[in-house]
Amino acid sequence: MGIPTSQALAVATYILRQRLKGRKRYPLVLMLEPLWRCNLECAGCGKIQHPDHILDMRLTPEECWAAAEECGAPVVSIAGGEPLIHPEIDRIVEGLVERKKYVYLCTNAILLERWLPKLKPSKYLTISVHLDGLRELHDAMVDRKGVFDKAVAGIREAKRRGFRVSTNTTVYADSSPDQMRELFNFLMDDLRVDGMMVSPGYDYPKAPNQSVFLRRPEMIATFRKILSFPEAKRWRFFHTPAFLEFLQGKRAMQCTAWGNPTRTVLGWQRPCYLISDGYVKSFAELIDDTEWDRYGYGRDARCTNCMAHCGYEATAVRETIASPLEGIRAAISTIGARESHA
Amino acid sequence: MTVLIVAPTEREARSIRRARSCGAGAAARDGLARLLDAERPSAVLIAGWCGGLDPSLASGDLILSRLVVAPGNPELLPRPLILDAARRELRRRRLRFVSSRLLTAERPVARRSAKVDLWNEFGAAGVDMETYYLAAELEARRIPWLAVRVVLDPAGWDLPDSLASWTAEGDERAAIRRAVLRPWEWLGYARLALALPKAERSLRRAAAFASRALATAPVEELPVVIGDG
Repeated sequence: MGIPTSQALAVATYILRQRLKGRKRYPLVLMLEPLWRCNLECAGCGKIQHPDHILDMRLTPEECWAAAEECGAPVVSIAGGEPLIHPEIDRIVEGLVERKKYVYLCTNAILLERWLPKLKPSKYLTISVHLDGLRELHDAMVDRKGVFDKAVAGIREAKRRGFRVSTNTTVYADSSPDQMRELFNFLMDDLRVDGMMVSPGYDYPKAPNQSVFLRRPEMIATFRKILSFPEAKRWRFFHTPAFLEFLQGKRAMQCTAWGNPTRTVLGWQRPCYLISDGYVKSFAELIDDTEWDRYGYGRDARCTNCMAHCGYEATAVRETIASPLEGIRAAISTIGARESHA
Repeated sequence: MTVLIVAPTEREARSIRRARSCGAGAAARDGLARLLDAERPSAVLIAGWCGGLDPSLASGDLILSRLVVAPGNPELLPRPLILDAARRELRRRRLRFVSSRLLTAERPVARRSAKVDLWNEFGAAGVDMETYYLAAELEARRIPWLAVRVVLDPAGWDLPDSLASWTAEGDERAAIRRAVLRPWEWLGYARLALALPKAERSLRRAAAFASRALATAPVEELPVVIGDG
């Protein structure tokens, strides 16, 4: 388990610097959505139900770089929509890497093979492929046959070209622990991805299929089962041990919504990546003028069934840095993570 | 509007000053009923300390209840206009607070692991032994109410074992007598004693401002609302 050492060190140094500066709230991951248009309509997605004129909007590369500089987070996760639909995604990525941001380019991989020749492998760049299960389950969740095979081909080609590749799996009501076990074994042993991310699905009110979402107690039961398989010890997750304990209900955490601020085509989304209570023009306005204590588990009904990494991994990282014991645990788990690139 | 402030124990009532003690645990409901019969207030503020379940809260942090839960019972909500008025007043006074759920349990929740389980199950920021019973009595009489609780022992603390069987104020001395013979619990008591002054200050200020909001908020005639608001 564990993120690459260089990234872990960069994040730890960044947090210590923020603390020395006395900053109470500081971002860890910029969630950058350069567009909301997607080439899929997944059952559990709540991002693509915008009118066409909004789906046609895109952030320019300059706007993306400005957002990264304005927010200052050491990690940028490019999401959407499908980022590879953006005609200048290669320039966006290149500019962020030049700024020494650890970039996670999230994609369903349908267009990945087409883009790979235009992207450069770097220790700052991770291609993060969305995979919710093996062939049958994944294609059902994304509502299109053949997407799993396309994603697997894209991962193999990206690995062949020397990219660091991770996967992002959303666990839904239809994802049985055994199916997740098969998927993670396949990703580790066959595809040999550099790391995996996993999160329970968020119950977006606008998602096309509301029956796919787990409630919080079910999420905990499912993750306890998944992470109790003997092979789980060798699965390499890009998560802190604290977050994985939280998913299993072994540790109490409150959401750190400001840890992963979201920049969209409409502005900075308040308060988080999953809930939209409006947009503001600047990052400073988002941080300073949002009533952060209004949001979180127990405080807002929309947070009741959320255990997503975009809210809780920031809490886990802050707790890890704050506690020497947690820091040692995380360091031990990070040693297992391979550095694909020097 | 005349506002009655009730707190379970004499110690809590003393720290608020204007409050009346109604007793601890489920018996608090009878104590409140007697106070209501005698004083006939038009609104009631339930105030006191609680154990923290929300791990982001520290000793002295304030919880304004937006919803009250007890295992196996329907959820109770304060009236929305009153809750909004209290939120505005606390914000205006620059009191740091969270507006969250409060859980009522039958006995003290002493262990950290038990707090984690309750947090996962109920999503309540704090746990006490009275709020639900008191709110239920007030709902039955259609008296507007509000609940504020201040965290005494945060989610990350274990309470001393000798406090686990605490059910009423009279048990305090017995618990301390037991603790005298258990030196390993002294640190836990010392920690609580150190947290107490901050919790008292916070409770006093919160009760003063919340009762003001309760006294001036518009009263709406609403049925008992059940469900997550």
